[in-house]
Amino acid sequence: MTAAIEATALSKRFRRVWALRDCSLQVPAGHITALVGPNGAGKTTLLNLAIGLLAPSAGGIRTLGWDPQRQPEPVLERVGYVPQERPLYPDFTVDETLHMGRALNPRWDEGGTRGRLLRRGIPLDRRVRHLSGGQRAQVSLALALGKRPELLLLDEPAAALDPLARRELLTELVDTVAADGTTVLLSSHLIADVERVCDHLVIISQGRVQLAGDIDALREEHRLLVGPRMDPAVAAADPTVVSARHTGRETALLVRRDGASSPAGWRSEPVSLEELVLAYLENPAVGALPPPTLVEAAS
Amino acid sequence: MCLSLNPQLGSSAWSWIALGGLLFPLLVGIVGAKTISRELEGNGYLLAWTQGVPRRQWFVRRALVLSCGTLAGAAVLVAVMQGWFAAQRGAGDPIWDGFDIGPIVLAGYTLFALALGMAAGALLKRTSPAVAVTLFSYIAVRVTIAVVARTRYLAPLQASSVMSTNPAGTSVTGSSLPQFPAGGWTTGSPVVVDAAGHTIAATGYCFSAPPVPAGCHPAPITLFQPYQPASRFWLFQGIEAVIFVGLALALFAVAYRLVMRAR
Repeated sequence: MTAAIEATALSKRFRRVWALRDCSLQVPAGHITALVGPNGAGKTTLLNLAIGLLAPSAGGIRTLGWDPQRQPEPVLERVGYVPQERPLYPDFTVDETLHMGRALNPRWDEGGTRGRLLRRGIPLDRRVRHLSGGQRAQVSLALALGKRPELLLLDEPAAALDPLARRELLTELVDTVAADGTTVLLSSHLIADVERVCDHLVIISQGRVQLAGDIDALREEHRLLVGPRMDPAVAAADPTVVSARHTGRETALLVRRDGASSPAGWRSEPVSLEELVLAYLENPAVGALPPPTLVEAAS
Repeated sequence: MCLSLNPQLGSSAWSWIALGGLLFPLLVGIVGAKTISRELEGNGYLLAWTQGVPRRQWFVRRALVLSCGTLAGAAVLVAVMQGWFAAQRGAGDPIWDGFDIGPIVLAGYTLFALALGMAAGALLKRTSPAVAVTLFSYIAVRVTIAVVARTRYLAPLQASSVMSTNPAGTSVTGSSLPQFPAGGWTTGSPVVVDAAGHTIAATGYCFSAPPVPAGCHPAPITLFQPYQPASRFWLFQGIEAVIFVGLALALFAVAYRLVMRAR
């Protein structure tokens, strides 16, 4: 697996608050990876570090093999970024926005970008301030895709969009990625969206990576075990237990247990992606990997 | 009737043009502050700094384009002002009156105001405070240098005159106004020295040939008037411009570092 983004013990501190702490993760090239976590977990910070808007406080990050701080040119040329705010100049027309993209990006795809916007029925002569939220999101995405990116970073791409606009946006995304083999890292709160478009998952919580891997493999590794009520302390002490729910007579455990058969008297069920994600988000201490030791990379 | 080239232009119109020369750098400072703070205040930086052009180039391009643009504007302004200035003033008029709108210093002030605005914008990240700080700092620095430093770029020359009395003390000979070449700039009040070599109060003094009455000073007395000759005008323009260009370069460097570190 080649990594489009590789973070090693990556940490970022804002004054006295650690937004990310000892994050080590790999975002596989050619896949769509979801970045999931509660608000304030450090998702946006990670994306900003990946494109070099922020510099790490400790540790390192490589984007497409380059250090975004020391080698900003190749990174900025090849990485498209759609921030959550979808910043555009409100007084520019769509056409002027595209002109800016052409002027500032050496690998600019003029025909593709124009065609993409026209297909979506976006009037090129209209000022950005007069576009709807969904249209603005399309222009932002088009501007990022116009770079012909090898890596696309999307921060909450579907937030604040109506269901129709959201579906169009995600369709656009999947089509483009399928055609060009672009790597995508997108942060999202919407598990349904993640399930539809992503094949990899990274859960970060309180600035640390909690879980990372191929979504299908993760779902196979995790099971929901339902059986007679057990002592909550015993369940909590088991390192393979991600979350436990106890009712009067029953205990339901979400466990990470590779291929092991379920104990006698217990029912084993597959878990949905939503159950899996929620189990981790509810238990932020679970799965937090021990801080890795920094090894001098042999290049 | 062609007003724009009328050499008999009224003095009030002339004042407005001179005021334009004084205010132009302030305008440039506002532009400098806005060009940086506008992006940092909102989230424009998320757009501008994630395009294919790295932040370093983004800053350098802005600084260069604005420097060239505002210097060109200053050059036009200077040409207009100098044209009128030449038409307005006679041969013997003091050249120093136009120092603050002189062509060389105006280039320095313009660059300084631009760099100050960009540094304030990068530091404060918000347009209104950045503009306010830029205007205030620009005026403070300009006034300080004009009042404190400018007279001292070179030690002033001294014009002198000698005054004495006849032995009876009935008439004064000499002049109380030291004469210096036309176009000189007096840079302080005259210093008065009596025959014994003591510096005495420059006003309301009394002097006399011997016998000297109590409260009077021995004649003759010499008045020294410090001045900067007209021949130094362009040298002083150069010195002041170098100071402001130096300050501008330092502030450009500060703004650059702040932009590279921002967020």
